[in-house]
Amino acid sequence: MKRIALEVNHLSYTFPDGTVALKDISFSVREGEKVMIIGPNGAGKSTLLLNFNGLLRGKGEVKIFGEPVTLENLKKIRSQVGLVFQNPEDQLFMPKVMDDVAFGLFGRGFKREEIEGRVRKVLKELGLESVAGKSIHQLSLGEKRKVSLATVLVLEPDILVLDEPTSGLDPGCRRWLINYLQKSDRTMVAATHDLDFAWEVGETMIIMERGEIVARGGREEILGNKDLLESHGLEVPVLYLLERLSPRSG
Amino acid sequence: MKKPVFSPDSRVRIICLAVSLTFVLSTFFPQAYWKFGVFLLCLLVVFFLISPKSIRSFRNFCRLSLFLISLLLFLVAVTFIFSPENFRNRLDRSLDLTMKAFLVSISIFVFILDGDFADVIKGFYLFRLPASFLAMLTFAYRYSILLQEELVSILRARLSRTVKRRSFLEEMKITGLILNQYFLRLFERSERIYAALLSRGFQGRLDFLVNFKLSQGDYLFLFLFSSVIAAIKFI
Repeated sequence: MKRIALEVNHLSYTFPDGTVALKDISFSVREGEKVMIIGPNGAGKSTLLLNFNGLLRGKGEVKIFGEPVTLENLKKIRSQVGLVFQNPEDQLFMPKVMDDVAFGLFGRGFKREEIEGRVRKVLKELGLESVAGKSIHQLSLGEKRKVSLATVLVLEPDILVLDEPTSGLDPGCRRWLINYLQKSDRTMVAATHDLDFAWEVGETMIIMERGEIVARGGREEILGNKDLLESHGLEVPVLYLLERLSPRSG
Repeated sequence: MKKPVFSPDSRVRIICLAVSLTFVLSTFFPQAYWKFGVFLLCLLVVFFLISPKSIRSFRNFCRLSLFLISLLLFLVAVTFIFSPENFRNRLDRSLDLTMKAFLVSISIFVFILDGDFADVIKGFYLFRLPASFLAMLTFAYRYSILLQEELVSILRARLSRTVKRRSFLEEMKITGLILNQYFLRLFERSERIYAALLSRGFQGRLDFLVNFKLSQGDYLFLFLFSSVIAAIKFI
């Protein structure tokens, strides 16, 4: 039986202006599991993700591999939970691609040669060698998204957390990202509106609405349930319908 | 864009700028007016040597010069009118200040702004400047472009919804509201950037991967430039 990688117990979060973002959220993610958090705008998906590595701290408990997220262990937790933000412009703050990818490795006891080696390896893995020496503002959105992913992957986190990973991507980049994440055996939690992406990558689905978990289950159980999805402002993914209509599925 | 004739290491650029500033600030215009002229000529030669061969770069150089000249002429007039000294001293002081300001700006353009600014930041990093100064410089460079894009998008949105001419007061009111929105957006963005910094382990220090190596050409360039400036200064 695989270990529990992420555990959320009775988590609630209220913004300083009084807006309730999360209400008594509880769920767990096993090691290697790919969980998709879906729901309409304002459901609290991004707020939930920010609680995973202590960027926001609500009432309740978040545990990473059994260890509660506290102020004392934030450094360790943040090296275990790699968070890729929705907007790469917010995530990429160094002037050049190489420096941005290397940023998290400094201060972790690596030698410069080792840092450079790791950075080059990740850039090669993501097909970014040609942009290694470029400035961030010279990249396309798809390239920025890939570099954002590289900045997190280079730290080799145990849990990959993605906030709207396909938003604004062209079909080619989106396909590349789906293929990459499908092949990865890392524990993953992604918040997304893109239900076709969720269908292709996710194993477990969580539907959130107004700060609450309203449904949780396997991908067919959730994404195949038209009434459930429509009652929460979502639609059955096109890929699910196509798979059902194809001759192979009978 | 063609490559420059010679591309100096960013540390060489920084030292050359320091040499230029020392020269300009320690030389006084009325006593040796020809020195500033020869120095400007040197800067032009250096510009053509180290700047990428693009029309854009040269156009920027000319635009900057024209802008500075018009701005400085205004300053000359102000200094001249309000100085309590006699006519000759007033003229000397105005011309001295004007020439200094002009040459300092042109030097910064030639050695810093016309090259890759990211490399200049790395040069400062190698000179071990304080971490907070480097972080400030890095963020200013990275986000100035982004903030400019954001401002352009807000102004475009305004233009696309403007159908009739408004009175001056109405225009000012709308501009105020736009600026309000702009600063709110900047505030939100800065919060998100800070969250991203923390998420990736920021502890107040930025480090860079630097593979700069000083070549013989760099040493030669630095020696020649410093020698010429010293010669102009002490002849």
